[in-house]
Amino acid sequence: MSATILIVDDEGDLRDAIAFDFKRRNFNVLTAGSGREAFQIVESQPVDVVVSDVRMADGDGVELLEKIKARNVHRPMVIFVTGFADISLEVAFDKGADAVFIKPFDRKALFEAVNRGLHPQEKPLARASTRVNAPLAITVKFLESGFTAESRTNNLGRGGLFVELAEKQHPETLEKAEFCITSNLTPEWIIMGEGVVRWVRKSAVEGMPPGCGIEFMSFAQDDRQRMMELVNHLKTKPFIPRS
Amino acid sequence: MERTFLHDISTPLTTAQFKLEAALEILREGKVEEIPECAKMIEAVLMQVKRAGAMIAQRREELMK
Repeated sequence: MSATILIVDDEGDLRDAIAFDFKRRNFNVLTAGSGREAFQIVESQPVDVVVSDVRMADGDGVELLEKIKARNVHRPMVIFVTGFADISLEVAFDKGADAVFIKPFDRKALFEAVNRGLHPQEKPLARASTRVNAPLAITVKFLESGFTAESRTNNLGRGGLFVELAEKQHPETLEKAEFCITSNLTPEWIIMGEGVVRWVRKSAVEGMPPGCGIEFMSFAQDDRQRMMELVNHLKTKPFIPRS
Repeated sequence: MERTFLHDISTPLTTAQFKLEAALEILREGKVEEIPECAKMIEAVLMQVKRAGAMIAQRREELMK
């Protein structure tokens, strides 16, 4: 059965161009010209993915995202396609956006993000987790910058995590990272995986410490299931939290 | 002003990119039945470029006065 995608943009040309692409890929495509119209559609029929502009009259993308996530945090997934500086990446992910693309963007990356969200079959890491008894902690190793940082449990989101960094340490956006999460909520297991840095905060802002947001890309063996259990237990709404 | 310019240009650029890449895909896949749609997309991008060209020409004249 085809997945249903809702394209939301007040610019008809772009909306139709994106819709045409997804129709060619056998999606059931719906369109809307405003956040208000889009939410009416989401309430009236099952939608799997929403691809939405941010700045629109008659209900913007942020209001739409908040209403959708208040209704159901997992479905539909919401992807922002935004113009210059409409919303920062860390705010968008913290509010629960599943992906953010800044115009103009790689069209194939949009398709990959949609497919990844609909069918999370990432290639698992080769190595197995080790069962240890350890207090809750998140350790992240940045593979290109070469340093390691630690963070706390309430920094987990549905699709990623926030890790606090020292002021002089910051990775690059899109840098790969390995993470290791130990939890005393389910005794004696750890979660290991790989992620990618989506945004970096180099110094404290609004009382939030320097750090970065990392999206989960793959997990060791069966750790995805453990991560989902942990996320469901924490009932976390952000996709990648801001702090 | 630069932020406004960057914001205003980002959507038409993205639209043009989507249409041209989709048109290329159709041609490479050899889907004959989609060629009319392909032609429409390329024409739409050309119209966009011509409109932008006309706006630039008008603005140049205003600045030169």
